[in-house]
Amino acid sequence: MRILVIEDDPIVGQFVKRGLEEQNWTVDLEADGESGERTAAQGDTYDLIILDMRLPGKDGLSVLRTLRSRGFQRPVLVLTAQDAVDAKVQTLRAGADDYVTKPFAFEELLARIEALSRRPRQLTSPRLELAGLVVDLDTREVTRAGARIELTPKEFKVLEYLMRHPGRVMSRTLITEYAWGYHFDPGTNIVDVVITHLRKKVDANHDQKLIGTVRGVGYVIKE
Amino acid sequence: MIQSIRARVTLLFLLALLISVVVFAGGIWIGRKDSAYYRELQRYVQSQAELAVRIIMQAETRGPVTIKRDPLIGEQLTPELASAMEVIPDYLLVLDSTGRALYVSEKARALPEEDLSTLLERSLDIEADATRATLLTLRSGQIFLSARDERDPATSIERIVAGSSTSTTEEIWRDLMRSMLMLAPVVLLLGGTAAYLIGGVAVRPIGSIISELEAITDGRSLHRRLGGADAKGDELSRLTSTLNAMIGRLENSFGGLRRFTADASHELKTPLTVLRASIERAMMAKRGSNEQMEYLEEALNEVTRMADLVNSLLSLARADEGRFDLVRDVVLLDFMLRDIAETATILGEPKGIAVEVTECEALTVEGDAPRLRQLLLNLVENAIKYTTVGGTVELALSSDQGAAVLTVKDSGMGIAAADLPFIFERFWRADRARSRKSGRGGTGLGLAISQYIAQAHGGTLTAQSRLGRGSTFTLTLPGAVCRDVGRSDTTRDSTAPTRVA
Repeated sequence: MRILVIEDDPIVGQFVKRGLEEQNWTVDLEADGESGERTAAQGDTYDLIILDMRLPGKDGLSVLRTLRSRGFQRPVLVLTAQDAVDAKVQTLRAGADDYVTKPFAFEELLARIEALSRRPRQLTSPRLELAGLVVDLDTREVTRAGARIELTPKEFKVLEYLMRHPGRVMSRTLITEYAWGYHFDPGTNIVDVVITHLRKKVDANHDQKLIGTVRGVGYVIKE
Repeated sequence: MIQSIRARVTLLFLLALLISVVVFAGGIWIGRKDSAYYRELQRYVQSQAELAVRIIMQAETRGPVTIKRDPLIGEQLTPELASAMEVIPDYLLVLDSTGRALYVSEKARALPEEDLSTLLERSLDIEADATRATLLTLRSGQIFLSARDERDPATSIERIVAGSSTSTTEEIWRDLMRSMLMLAPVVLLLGGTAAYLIGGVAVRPIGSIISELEAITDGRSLHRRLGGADAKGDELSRLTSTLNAMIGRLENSFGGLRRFTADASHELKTPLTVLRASIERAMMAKRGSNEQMEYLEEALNEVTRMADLVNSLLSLARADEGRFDLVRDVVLLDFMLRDIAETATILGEPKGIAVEVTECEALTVEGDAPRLRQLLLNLVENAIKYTTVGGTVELALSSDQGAAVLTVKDSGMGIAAADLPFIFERFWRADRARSRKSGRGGTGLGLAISQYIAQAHGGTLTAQSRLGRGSTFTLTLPGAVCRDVGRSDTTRDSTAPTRVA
């Protein structure tokens, strides 16, 4: 998949570009409205455009309107700092397919791109597997070595998040964001409690412990 | 006391009218003695006296004017003279030097005895002046008297006094007063009606200004202006244009707030996005040490908190402007409550707090699910935070007259009665020292935003609490619909909801 990112801030732009490249996608970056519009209009090159709303030169909303009026039909994902409903409605009316509100978690951006690119279901495996631990995203069933494990919805969500990024340390903040979408008071150890439950259910009867702790940071699932 | 300006204007006008009528009538009544009628009467009395003197002088040239017929009565005018004097119809007395009456006219004789003797007595005292008349008050009325001295040594006639009653003149004034008294209510009624009508005409534009102003409720309706600010330049159009100018200034400052909100969104959120992107990138790099990861996690946590605070402040700024927007959809409240209950259980576990769902009806409302979730998470987070080890937190969802009622009840430390009215205010904290003890508390905006969320749904969020006994927060959302629980779960999206009675 080829993606065009139109974002004037170099740090945000590079961050999005590298993150998407890690997904093995081809990503081009443009830093202002006019050049972005020119690049986007070059034939059928891009499968998806990520468009920032506040751009130097020509603002995102005008770029979006121009692209749509010239017959650009691929999905456009808008990055906006405005989370007021009328501002969102305005971008959707102008032809955006979805929006992500700044500041965003990369995970959210990724999830929305995946939804927009309408990848065939069989390509995204509905099963996450690691050392005999299987998480089925469709049936929401979890098994280890064939034995079924009963999880509560939040336990499932936390395990799913770790399983999506095997071998990577996921911080408490990211886990909380993914599972709850709410920022608890500092000092709340909600993730630790859920991990304790998960360890009892997933690791207790097995010699190989899959869930690891990184002190002061978060947790990792690995072989 | 009296609310409407119109009624007050009418009453004041009536009062002023009444005072004018009374002063007018009183002035006429008091001033009547100086009137032309009285002066005319005085001249008449003087001329009568003069006439009597002339008649006597005429008689003197022809012979004696008095005779002594009866020794008991004494001297009297001669019958010829007396009959000549009868041409003067009013009061007429002819006295000798001792004050004895030589002649008393018929009208004077008709006076009551008491009045006649007073008249005789006073007739001697008054000054004999051709240019003046003296007013004498008797029992039966007032009489103007005019005296002439006639000192002819040939006769015993000493003084001639003519008089005329004021009763006819007084009668005219009395008639005038009577008709005034009868006309006064009519005048007052007419005047009052006129004042009421005029008051109505004057006040009507104010009424329309009031209703137009009432229609301007929040930031969204501030573009409106009042009608009727024309070039007439009267007080009302000046009031209207002054109000319009004020609304204009309000609109400007609201517009300024809106622009600030939009700008702040960008100016605060863009650096936060950059910060967040940098931190996430650094965390993704595989070569960082554990220590570095710890710092990055701390920074990430701070950035999300800051972004949260910015969002909260902007939400409140928009709420102040009356633009607390909701994305409404069908919300399955019982599912949401179960989800929240799980989170509450996890939150309460380290403190051994038992979380229980005591009642959970299958209710739905039209609402903004993420916002309602935020509200409920805020309530359970507080409930757990302020409940001591081993306490309980109870969640319940029921319906009451078409409204969904969600309660979060804890057995915690409670809120002092003096604090209870302030807990929904921004940046309010129950006990600053206590919330600092466990690191740092929340932003202090949670309950304020929760209440705005409830209100934006047309509902309410209230708290009951007793110190040491725990608190109960109650969220009421209107328009609750009961789902058919019998066919729940698998078919819940397709079943037609039935409205709660």
